[in-house]
Order: sequence, then structure tokens, then C-alpha cells
Amino acid sequence: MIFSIYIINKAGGLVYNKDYSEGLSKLTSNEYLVLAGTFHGVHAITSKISPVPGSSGIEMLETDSFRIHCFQTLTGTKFLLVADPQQPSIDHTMKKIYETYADYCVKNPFQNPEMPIRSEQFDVHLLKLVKTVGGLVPASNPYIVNSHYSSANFNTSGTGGQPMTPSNSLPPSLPNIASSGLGLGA
Amino acid sequence: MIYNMYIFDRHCQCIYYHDWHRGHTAKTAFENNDPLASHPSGGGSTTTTTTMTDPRQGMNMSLEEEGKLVYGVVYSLRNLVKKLGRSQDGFIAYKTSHYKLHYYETLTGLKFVLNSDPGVESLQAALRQIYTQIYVELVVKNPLARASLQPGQINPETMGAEGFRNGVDRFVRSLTMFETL
Repeated sequence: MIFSIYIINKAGGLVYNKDYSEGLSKLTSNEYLVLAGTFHGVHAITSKISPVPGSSGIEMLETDSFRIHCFQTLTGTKFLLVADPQQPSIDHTMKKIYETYADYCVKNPFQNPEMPIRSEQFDVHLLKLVKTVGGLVPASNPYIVNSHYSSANFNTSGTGGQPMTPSNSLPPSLPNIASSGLGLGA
Repeated sequence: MIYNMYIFDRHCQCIYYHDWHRGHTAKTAFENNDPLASHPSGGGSTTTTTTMTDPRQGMNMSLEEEGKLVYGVVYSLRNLVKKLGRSQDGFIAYKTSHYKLHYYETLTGLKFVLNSDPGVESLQAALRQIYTQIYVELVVKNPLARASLQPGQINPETMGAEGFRNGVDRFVRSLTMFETL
């Protein structure tokens, strides 16, 4: 399960943040900026306080319920991936995120470097990536009542046309069984 | 491989420092008048700081400054985790390419920090054990330790708890990951 992805530019400013799963507390946009700045500073200090020479900055932060993985590119951009402790193949995911960033942000002529990322293509491809690595919680997860509820709502408030959604097809199937049973009895 | 350990009190004061494998070269020697100076446990430790073998070369940082930086890092990360996660979440450890920092905080605000090589599993249980079995027994329960308690100088060694350093030393050396890399 992937909770969120942040991208911090080389000056410590937050240029991109996106939440994918619920479970962590919601922050205001200002708090996200503070968080990014704090992490940037801590990252710089952690390489200084190393007991052995030549250490990099912080790469993985471990807590009881989540882990923050940090990948710093050679140009100083930092990718933060907040994930479940059980989330597999983080390195691969991180590499893919970097590829997506290179394809849809770096190669985008309208993207100002070091500025907040506003690219729909980047959003779409990042979401697709998170889905393929199993970063999203399946809708049947009992902990996420909210999204399940809203999707059911969406289905019933739809046009009610030909494409039958699972939640719509369930109630009509009950009378069918009943009537067929009656027919057999008669 | 265990590198070093810090204990901080609630007032951001580094009250204890101990190092075991501080780099693989000669042991760093700190100035004699430093209250936190590590005792010469290694046989060949010298009191002169040689710039070539000093693992902290190029950093030009005294132990006091380093302690403040370590405190700042764990304090910031603890607050970051508290803000991002739920209230009972705690910061356990972080890892860089060369070391892993383990963290344990008691309810009274005492912070235990231990550095090891990055391959080590969580040592939070060991830090907790150091607190409950060594710190509580030898410092908290020591009446002489409390008698000389001053805001500026809360050092287990000046508190007459000489056994504490020996106890920590013995405990950490008994850990399986102490020597192995």
C-alpha cells in the first residue's frame, strides 16, 4: 500500500504531492510544505552526523505503521515515497517514478524546472504506476468505508441504462429467483 | 556493527556518549576536559587527534556540536512522524547508505539513540532493555545520582554511577551484531 508520493526540489521546496491511500492524517498544504522543508534539512544533517565517513543522507525512515523511502537524484531532487512496511519492491517502484518524472516533467517544455508540477499526464501515469505495483487499497478493504460508500452511491445515481453495475444487478436477481421458484412449485 | 550511542534528557542535553567502532581506523580521541569524553577502552587509543586517521575528518565538529545535531535530527523526525501518522506512532529508526540510527524514547522524555551499520534489524528492544535494566537500576535508583543533579550537568558519570558505563558496555558487547558487519 502506497500512502503518498512527494517530490522535493533541490532547494527544499515541495513541487509535487499526491495521496493515494487513506491511513495517514490529512495535512493542510502549508503543513506539507513545512514537512518537505524539514525533511530536506534533516536529510542534509544526517550525512554530517554519520559515525563513519562518506555517508549519504537519510534513505529510509521506519515507524510503527509506515515507512518513508527517499531517493535523491544526482541533481538534488528528492522523491519521497510513503508506504506500508509490507510494500514490496520499493527500489523498482522508485525507479519507475523517476522514469515517469523524466518523461512527463523533465521532457515537458512547459514545465518550469524547480517549480510545482502541474502536468495531467504525469498525474495519470503516476496513478497507473501506483496501481500496477499494488499501491492502492482494493475497494473491498473494510477500513475504507468512505470510498466504498461513495462508489456505491455513484452507481445507483447513474443513468440506470444498459451497463449494469454489480450493485444494481444484485436487487433484481432476488425476484428472479423467487419467481422461478414459484414457477417450479406451480 | 554497533558504532556509538547517545542519551539525551528532556532539556536537549547530551547526558551520555559511548563509542565502540567509530570508523575502522584509530579510535577518536577527545579532549580530556570534555565531560563527555569516552573512556579509553581500546588498548592503542591515543590522546592526540591525528587528522589523517580521524574518521570525522573534514567535518570539524566537536562532540558537543555533534550531539546537538543528532538531537535536532531525532527531534525533527519524531515531530514529522507524529504529524504524519496517528498519535501512537513512533519513530523507530532511519537508514542511510552507511549507518542506521535506532531511536527509543521513554515516557519521561529521555531519548536513547544508537548507531549501527545499515544491515542490522531494529534495536529498539535493546535500547529499551538498556533503559529498564541499566539506566533505571544504576542511575534512577541511585540516590547519589539525584543529589548532585544540576540543570547543566546531568552526567551519569558525575552522578557517581560509574557502573552505568560498564553496564552499557557489557550489554552492547553481548549483542550478536556488535562485531559482525
